[in-house]
Formats: sequence, C-alpha cells, structure tokens
Amino acid sequence: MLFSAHNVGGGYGAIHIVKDVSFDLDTGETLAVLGRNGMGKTTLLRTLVGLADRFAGEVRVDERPQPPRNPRAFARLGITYVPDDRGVFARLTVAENIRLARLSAYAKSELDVYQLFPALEELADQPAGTLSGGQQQQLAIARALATGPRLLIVDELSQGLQPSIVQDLTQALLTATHESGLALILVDQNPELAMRICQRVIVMQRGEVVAAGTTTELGAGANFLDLLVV
Amino acid sequence: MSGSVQILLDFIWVSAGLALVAFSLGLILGELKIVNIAQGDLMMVGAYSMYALRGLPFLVALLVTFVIGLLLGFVLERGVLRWVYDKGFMATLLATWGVGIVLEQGVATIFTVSQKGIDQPLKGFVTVGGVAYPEYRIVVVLGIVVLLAILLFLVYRSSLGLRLRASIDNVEMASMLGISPQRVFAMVFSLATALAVLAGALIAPTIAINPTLGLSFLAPAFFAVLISKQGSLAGPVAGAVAVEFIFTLLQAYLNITVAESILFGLLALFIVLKPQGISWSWKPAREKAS
Repeated sequence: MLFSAHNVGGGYGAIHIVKDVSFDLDTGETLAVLGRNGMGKTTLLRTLVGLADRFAGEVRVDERPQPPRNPRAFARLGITYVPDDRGVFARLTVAENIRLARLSAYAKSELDVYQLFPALEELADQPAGTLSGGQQQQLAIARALATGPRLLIVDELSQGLQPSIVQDLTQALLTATHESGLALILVDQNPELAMRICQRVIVMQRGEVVAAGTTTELGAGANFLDLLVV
Repeated sequence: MSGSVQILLDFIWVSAGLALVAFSLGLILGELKIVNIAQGDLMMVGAYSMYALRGLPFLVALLVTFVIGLLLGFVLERGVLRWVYDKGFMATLLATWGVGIVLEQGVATIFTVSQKGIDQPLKGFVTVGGVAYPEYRIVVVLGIVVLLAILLFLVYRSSLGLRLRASIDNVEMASMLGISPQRVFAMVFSLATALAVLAGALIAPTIAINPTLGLSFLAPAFFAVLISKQGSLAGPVAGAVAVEFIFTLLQAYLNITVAESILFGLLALFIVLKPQGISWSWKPAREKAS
C-alpha cells in the first residue's frame, strides 16, 4: 500500500479538529475528500503531510510509519502537497518555481509540465506573485507534478477560478493519474468536479468521516447531497 | 584636480566597506526579517580578531577570522535567534542588541578599551590621477567588488541560492519540497555574520581599533538597506554607494558633524516619503512598457 491513514486525529496545539480518520490509497488510486466548509478537510490534509499536529493514529507510506510534523520526510518519499493558497514562491519566477521542484524531485517526472500548461512557458520569467489566481494554481500543480510525485495531495483545486482554467487543471490531473500512475487526494468545494476526477470519496463532518465508498456508490445514494449542503 | 581625485578615491574606499556591511545587513533584515543591531559589533569582532592574530600572515589571519565569523553566526543563530524568529520584530531587535552588548563588553574585558592597531600588509602606493593612494585600499576595494559579485551570483543564479530564496519566501512549501528551512536560515545568518566580521577585518589596518568602532558604520548601513526596495540584495549595495555619495558631497562643504546630521535627516525624510524604498534594478525600456 502506498499511503494509509489509521485512526488519525489532528489539529493545532490543544485544538483537536480531525478525529479517527482512516483510509488506504495505492498507486494510481484517487480519493476525493468532500464536506461542508469548516469540517476539517484542510486540517486533515495538513495533518497527513506533517504540517499540522497529529495527536492520534498513524500515517504509513509503503507500510512504514511516518513521524508527525515532518513534511520533509513525506517530500523525500514522493508525497507532494498543494495548499489552498497555492503556495507558490511569490518572489521566484515561474521558471525558478519549476526548477526548484525539479531540483527537489523524488523522481524525474515523465510529464512535461510546460506541455500540460503552455501558458506557463510564456510567463517563465515573471515573478509568481504577479500571476493571476488561475495562473498561480496552474503553476502550483505544475510545480507539484515536476517533483515526479507518487502521491499528489491538492486542497481546493477549483476555488475562485474561471471554468476554462478549471478545465485545464482537471485535464492535467486526469492525464497525470492515468498516464503516470499518480495517486491523488483531492479536496474541492465542487463535489461534481472532485467525483469526476476521483474514483473514491470520503465525506467529512465535524472532523470525522461520515461516509466512504466509490464515487459511483456514494453518488447514487439518496442522502449524499444532504451531507454536502453548505 | 588632485583634491577631487582624492575625494573620489576615498568615496570608493568607504563605499566598498559600507556595501559589504549593508549587503550582510540586507541579507539578515530583508531575507530573515531580523533587525541585527549587533552588526557593528560583529565588525568590531573582526577587527579584534585580526589584532589577536597579527602574528600570522595577513591572508591566513583573514581566513581564520572569516571562519570565526561563520562559527559565531552559527552559534548566535542556533543559540539565540531561532528562539525569537516567531516572537516579532521587537524580540529580534532586543536579542541582537543584547548580543551586541555581550560582544562589546567581552572584547573590552579581554583586550581592554585602549585603542589598538595593526600594520597594513601592503605598504606601497598606487598613483591614480596624480594622487598616490594606498595600495592596500585599492586591493581591498577590488576584493570586495569580486566578493559581492560572487555572492550575488550565488544568491540569484545557483541552486543553493534558489533554495535559500524559496525558504525565505515560503517556509512551509520549502519544507514540502524537501528543503530544511532551519538549515538554510542558520547558513544565511552564519554567512551574513561572517561578512560583517570580514568587513571589520578588512578595515582594521586603516583605523584605530576599539570596542565601539562598528557604531559609525551601523546607521549608514541601515539606511542603505532601508532606502532599497525590500527583498533585493543588490539594493543595499547600491544604497550604500548612494548614502556614501551624499555624505561625501556634504563633507566637501560642511564639517563632519553637520554633514552627518543633514545626511541622516535627509535619509529619514526619504524613508517617510518613500517607505517602500527605491528599486535599483534596471529594466530595458521594452519590458517597462509591457
């Protein structure tokens, strides 16, 4: 198994937000994490990659337990994270952002990120902080893919972006997961989009998983939409 | 004519020293967001190190002093500053102030407060525009120019510099790319400290060495950084030249006390009017228009 969470609890200091979350993910598998605002999705992702405190449970990569609060350990194992604020290096140029990812790569990426996002090549010399929101998200995904990851974790892929950009990003993720066996965990406010990209879903409420299954199973359930109403 | 050449050469000499200190200060202030009040005292340590090592060949003493600077920076970063990074501007200011006092008093205790001096390793003169100028100063200016060019190249063109700038930009994401920001910060502070120590070591043969010698460099160096656009490392170097240029002009017509008062008054006014500083970077007209 590539990545697994066992009864993970997480949060920040004394504030416990995520409780008892478990799931497994193998190479090439994709998982959508859905739920209303404030239900702990972002905290879950940050706990999984060592950016928030893990106060319970275990996270395993290749069946080996990983230390909490150590994002570098996950990076070294080919786990890459794109936060909801995109996390581009604002003062570095687009090309430098990509070059840095290649320097820090887990494996040489089979994907040509400039081919996936041709607009980035034209913006190569521009500081990332001056890009539009959509361009920054393209750069964030491109940079993540340039690290040659085995698992990509994306928080809010489509938030605040115009439909054409969302379409490009969706296509890039589908290409990456289908062609290079990339595993994916995706949080998005748009359940339809997340379920189009991912094979499996977990739904969170108040920091806990209240529903889990394949996209087809859960999507067909009568009360599925009720769980996601904002 | 020879008077003007002398003024110009002195301007270049002082600008070079100030540029090295300002670069070091800019590295710490602009990149690590630490107001290093101890910068002048670090220069003083460099000068005293050269005094203590005066029995060694000059270049060997300079190298040992640089290494002492690196070690001192590492100890200060790991022992003091890493505990106050997240405590805000005032905490770092007070911490470095405290470090400065300890260094000053420590040196005064070991070497006493009486002035010391060391010989210039090069005693010859080079004639420039009819003026015989000390060979040592010319060599030091050239050395500083080469050193600053190497440092700017390292920061802006090397993989190491890229990792450094990324860590400064976004610590969390740098970690997610496998970079250790803590290691990078320790390295930057060590390097910046070593540069300040080196600046003190280089000027040591040309001044009277005493525990407060760095103070006269501190204010101009801070102004050189503050009038530059934040985040630029070439900025403090250009800022140092600009500050020294104004000071040289004022000194040509006024006594030093009045010149200093007017200089700092003008710089303070400039910072009030243009708090974001000057962007010294040159861009082709085509880029500006686009």
